[in-house]
Amino acid sequence: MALSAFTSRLGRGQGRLLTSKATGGDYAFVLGEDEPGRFFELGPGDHAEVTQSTDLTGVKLVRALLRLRVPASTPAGLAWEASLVIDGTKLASMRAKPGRERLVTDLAANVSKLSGAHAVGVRLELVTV
Amino acid sequence: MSTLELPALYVDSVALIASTPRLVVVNRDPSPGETGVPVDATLALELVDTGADGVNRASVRVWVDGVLAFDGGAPTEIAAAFAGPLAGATQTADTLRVVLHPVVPMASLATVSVRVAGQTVGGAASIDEVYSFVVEDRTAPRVVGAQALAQRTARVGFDEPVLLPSAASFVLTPKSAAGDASVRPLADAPEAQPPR
Repeated sequence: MALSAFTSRLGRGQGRLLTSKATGGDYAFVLGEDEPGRFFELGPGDHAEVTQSTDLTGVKLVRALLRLRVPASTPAGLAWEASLVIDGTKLASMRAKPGRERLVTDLAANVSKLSGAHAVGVRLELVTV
Repeated sequence: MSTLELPALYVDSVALIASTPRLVVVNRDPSPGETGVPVDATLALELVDTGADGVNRASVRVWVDGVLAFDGGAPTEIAAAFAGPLAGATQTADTLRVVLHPVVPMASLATVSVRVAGQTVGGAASIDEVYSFVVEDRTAPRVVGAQALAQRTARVGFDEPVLLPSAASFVLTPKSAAGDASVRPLADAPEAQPPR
């Protein structure tokens, strides 16, 4: 597997990690990089995501508990966006301003009209603003 | 392409909710209970009908600190005080998204209360919910006292805990011939005392 900005430190600063930033327990799944100060060549649309095929029959909402930390050095015109994606489509999203960290407790995707198996995921994406 | 520092997105949990009230408020931004909200933040929320009827836009009201900010179906739905350039309301078959953009920045450290009320089309379900968040602290610490400890050393007290960057310190400078003094931060003044 070719390594990218989002996969070059799996198990160390990326992926499922033991981290003090976890809110609901000791572990969290980290997209991006847990350790500040790691730079890469990136452009709008670059993203990392974790998905899982899930049977949404009878499910009303998909809710996510997230914490997003955005580097202060993020240039104007660009933003980092966290989103809930269903079959690759963003159904809910949030951003944080550069230099800020947010605990997001109310991100939810309405899946009440869906049934059967769908790819449910969380995405971190560099977007233009 | 730009050279950018990676952010961190910590995914704590993703939950499937099968049992929920028919009409719900979600994607509130700022989130309920969130702290450190920027003073210039927009206030967004979505009313979602998890059933078949859809949201009755004309029934939806949003109050911010008791002030009616959104009046669904009214000729002017968003009150002028919340009708900044990012404000708006969009509706799909089962969702109404409202974005309020305060024209005047919110007050530092204010606890802002948001009340949302509305119904589904036909009135089968309704909601009346209140949540709040806290705005960031944008008030600078105030000096409440300064005590001379030695000829060139003083202890300065502030009205709240402060952080002093390692390279910064303070110097006392005469303000007038009568001996009044002002305190101003200055780098590389080795005799200054760190604040409490």
